[in-house]
Amino acid sequence: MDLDRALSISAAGMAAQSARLRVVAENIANRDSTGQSPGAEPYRRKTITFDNRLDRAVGARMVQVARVAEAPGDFPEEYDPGHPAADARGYVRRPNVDSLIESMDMREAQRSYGANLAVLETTRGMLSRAIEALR
Amino acid sequence: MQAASTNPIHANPITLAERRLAWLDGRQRVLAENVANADTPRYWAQDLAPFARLLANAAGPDLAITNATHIAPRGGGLRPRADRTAIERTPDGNGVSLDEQALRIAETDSQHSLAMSLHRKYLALFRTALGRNS
Repeated sequence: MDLDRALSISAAGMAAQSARLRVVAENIANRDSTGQSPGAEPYRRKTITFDNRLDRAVGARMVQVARVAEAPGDFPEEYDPGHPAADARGYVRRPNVDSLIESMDMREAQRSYGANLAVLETTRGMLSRAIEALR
Repeated sequence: MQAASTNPIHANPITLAERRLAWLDGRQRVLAENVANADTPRYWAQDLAPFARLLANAAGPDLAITNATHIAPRGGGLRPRADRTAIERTPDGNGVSLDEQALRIAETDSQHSLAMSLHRKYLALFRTALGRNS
């Protein structure tokens, strides 16, 4: 039935957005995770992409997490000679996490999650209306 | 389904309401898919052909299948098509506008409510004719 599939599709959308929120949380939590030894790489920002794939069990195309990848980009350097990860010049490489980008990403994930939830509610209303016709 | 019942000219309001409901169910699924893919790269929003066009196409006589090698006509019209009227596209090539989809979902919801009430009212007419007023 199409309405059941609509429910599954919305649920898949919500799951995908939660996975995205998890990645954002990981990025923000590791904003200050530098290396432990001189020259060691700090935490590298993670990115997530989605893909719309056919789910044969449900018989509909559902959104799924395609890949969680590491973001390329240079690490900003900070002068801190007393740090265990400082190189010979006294600079420490910091994670390439930009908190402004992460918070925008978080907002977008939240908005999309809410939109999926609203669709789910509407579909549920349509289903219950159909069930009421049996009375 | 028989040919007579699929032809809307012969269709009674109950059949019509049922077809409308089936179309609305299908549309809700397509719109849910659009909202779920609001952040998927290179995804275009989709929609079904309008119900009026579906009825107009079904108004003609059905093609008879007289040979096993004949291909059955694609009925239903519940085949989603990419909606290229979307104005905005994000840099990653996504063409879903959430507010536009929300509007369509609200439309589908109210039309579903209307078709459902019509269906129920019409059945109530039969019930009244049978003398079961409850």
